[in-house]
Amino acid sequence: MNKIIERIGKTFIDFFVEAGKMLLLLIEVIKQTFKPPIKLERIFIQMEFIGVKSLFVVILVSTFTGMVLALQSYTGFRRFSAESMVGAIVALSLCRELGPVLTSIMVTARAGSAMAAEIGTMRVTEQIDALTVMAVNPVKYLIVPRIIASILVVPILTIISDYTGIVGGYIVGVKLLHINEGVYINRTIDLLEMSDIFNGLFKSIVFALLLSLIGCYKGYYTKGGARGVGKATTEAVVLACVVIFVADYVLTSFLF
Amino acid sequence: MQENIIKIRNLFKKFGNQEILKGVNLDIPKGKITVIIGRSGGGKSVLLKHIIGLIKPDSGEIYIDGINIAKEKENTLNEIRKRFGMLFQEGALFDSMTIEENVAFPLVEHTKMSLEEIKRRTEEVLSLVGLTGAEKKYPSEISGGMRKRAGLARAIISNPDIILFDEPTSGLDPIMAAHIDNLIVNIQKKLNVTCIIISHDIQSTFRIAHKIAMLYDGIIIAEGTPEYMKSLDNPYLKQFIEGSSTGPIQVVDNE
Repeated sequence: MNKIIERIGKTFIDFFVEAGKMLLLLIEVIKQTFKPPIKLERIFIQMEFIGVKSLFVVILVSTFTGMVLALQSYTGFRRFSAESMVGAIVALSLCRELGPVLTSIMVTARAGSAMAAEIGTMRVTEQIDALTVMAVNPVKYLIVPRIIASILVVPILTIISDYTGIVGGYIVGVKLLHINEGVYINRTIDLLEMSDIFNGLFKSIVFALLLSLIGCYKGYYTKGGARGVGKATTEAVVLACVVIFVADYVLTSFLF
Repeated sequence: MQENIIKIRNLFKKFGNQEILKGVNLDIPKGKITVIIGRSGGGKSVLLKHIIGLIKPDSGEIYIDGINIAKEKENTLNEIRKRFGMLFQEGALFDSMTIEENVAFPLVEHTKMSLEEIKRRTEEVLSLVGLTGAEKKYPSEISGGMRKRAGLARAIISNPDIILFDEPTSGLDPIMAAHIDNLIVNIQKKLNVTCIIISHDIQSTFRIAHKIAMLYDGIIIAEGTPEYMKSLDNPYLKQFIEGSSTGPIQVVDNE
């Protein structure tokens, strides 16, 4: 019995220790962000890696999501002859929910994991110590550009994801399922509001901060060789995904 | 009287329940090569990392030219760190950069030198360590010995007063080890820097050291010139120098 209580207690303590360390890292990141010299080129390099190189996969995933969404809602709505609503439903679910979430998950899988792996490898091969020894702050050099780049780039990817998803839905709805084109588009424009899009973008900024902070945090505190790097990478992806879904619910319930 | 550039006083450090340093006292003479010897996992690296402020002690003082770095804030520490160069065990080169970019890194980060000057200076130190021609290669494309030499080039490029070496000859063949030793001796003479080397390579230690200190069980058990150390009748030291598995140092002890 004592063992069980001990284990539960330890889990909680570990959780708060980890959350505390992450918060301290975030504070350090904010401090270092505004401390000169500010080197923009490092941010641009990361923006290219996180943004440009995730573009294709984001487009692919959101197009198919839009397509399947149209297909599924069509089957549902046809049962009470509301096929004309398909376009609006696709656009609303994408902008409010799926665009930001799917984009963040894809960026986590591609870039969040890479952040943990790269920074983690640098930790275990003493490259981070080498930075410190050469009087270069590793948080400023490695983590700040990644977090800033994520915050700048994920909302842009989200806009693209919203757009391609809606196009995907349109193709299935209008071209394949032959819903009247005018009705499809008009319903979408009528029901979708700018606030839906902006709230989705706000979410994506929060997700970007979370996924990059978690990726960098897990990498920065990596311990123990190749195995440690593998562990850090897995943990970063799993934790970031879970946190994104939890944050999604919390934000949705407050924002909308 | 020797001038000591670094003075370590009563240094204690614990990781979890394991006491690594149990009151280290050590003076490092200026412009000389000091070698700290001891078992693997015996806290040598930890001691070295204290000297450059990578690890903060639990208690004790580390004076560098009179400044106690154990108490200093990050900003002051960074100013002091600019006087140091360090060669890490595996080189710790940045693997996303070429050798040239790696070596030039301290200058790019901390000086206002023109690209021309940086390039010239990089070529100079690379030729000093015998790496001319490898500028455009990545660390993964060169051998361990070359990586160490590149690390050495990076450590000396900003003309430091003090260079730290974390096992410079470990994992190298004897010829390359001797070559690195020669490099260290030559660079020390040429630049008149203070070198602190941690090593368990006895042959190399006696080849290059002006002063030797032995760390055992968290304290310095003996220190002095190589001749003095050889003349001592300390059984621990004797066992270590002779490389014998029998003696007061138990093999399982530190594992």
